[in-house]
Amino acid sequence: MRDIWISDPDTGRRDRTVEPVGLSSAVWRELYPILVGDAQRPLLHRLWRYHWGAEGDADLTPAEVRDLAQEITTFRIGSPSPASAEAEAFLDAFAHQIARAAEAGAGLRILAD
Amino acid sequence: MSRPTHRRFLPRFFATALCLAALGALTACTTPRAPSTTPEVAACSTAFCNITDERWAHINERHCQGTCSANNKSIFVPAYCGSKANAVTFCQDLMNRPNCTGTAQPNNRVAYSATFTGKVGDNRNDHCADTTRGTVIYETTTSKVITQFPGDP
Repeated sequence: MRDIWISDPDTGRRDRTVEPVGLSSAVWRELYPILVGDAQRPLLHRLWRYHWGAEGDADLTPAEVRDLAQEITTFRIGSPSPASAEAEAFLDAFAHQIARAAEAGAGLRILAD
Repeated sequence: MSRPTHRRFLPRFFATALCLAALGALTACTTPRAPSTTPEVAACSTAFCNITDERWAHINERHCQGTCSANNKSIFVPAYCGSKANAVTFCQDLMNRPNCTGTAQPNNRVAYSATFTGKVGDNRNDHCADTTRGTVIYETTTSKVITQFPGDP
């Protein structure tokens, strides 16, 4: 399991006033073959390579968050819907969290088990 | 005078085949897929619980410090925290459980999980209720530990 938090752009500290979005192992596994190796979406590729331990952690700068917003938009437009309702719900929540961070000029902090 | 049937049919057949090949190539280009790298999963009992200081630091920070937080943070019982040696004990206990099973992950990692006879920790995915399940994630089959935590992967 990983949690996706909005973070302070200067300190990287988590904004605990906003609930994190959880990425379950099942959803990570389902989307792995689609996102890993996708050269058109390097940030999603990077975030999906690892899911556990220190290598599953990630900090995204506000500039990277803006790029990620573009990647998730083009991915959702250009790809068929995921097979599971859980993955679809995750993508909705993830896109919303990214948009919220981008609008606030914030970063994202991803923490892994 | 009309051409023989096979003379009319063959160009159409090759044109159709060419179109199908082009369509296949286009699909392969626009929908990339990661290479399949599913490793063989070794038996739990063959594992060596190699936990580096860096890996222990992650386990300690994420699953030994503070209290359990629902949907956010699982915490081990104190017996499996406090030192790297205690973390190694958890790993060894799990890998020696008769019900231990390993599952290959798409990125070559392997998740080993087992049910213990006693409490392992508080489970983030079950409103921080007690859990007797535990998981160890290996880099590849039974070589280096990536992380470990109460509950299932």
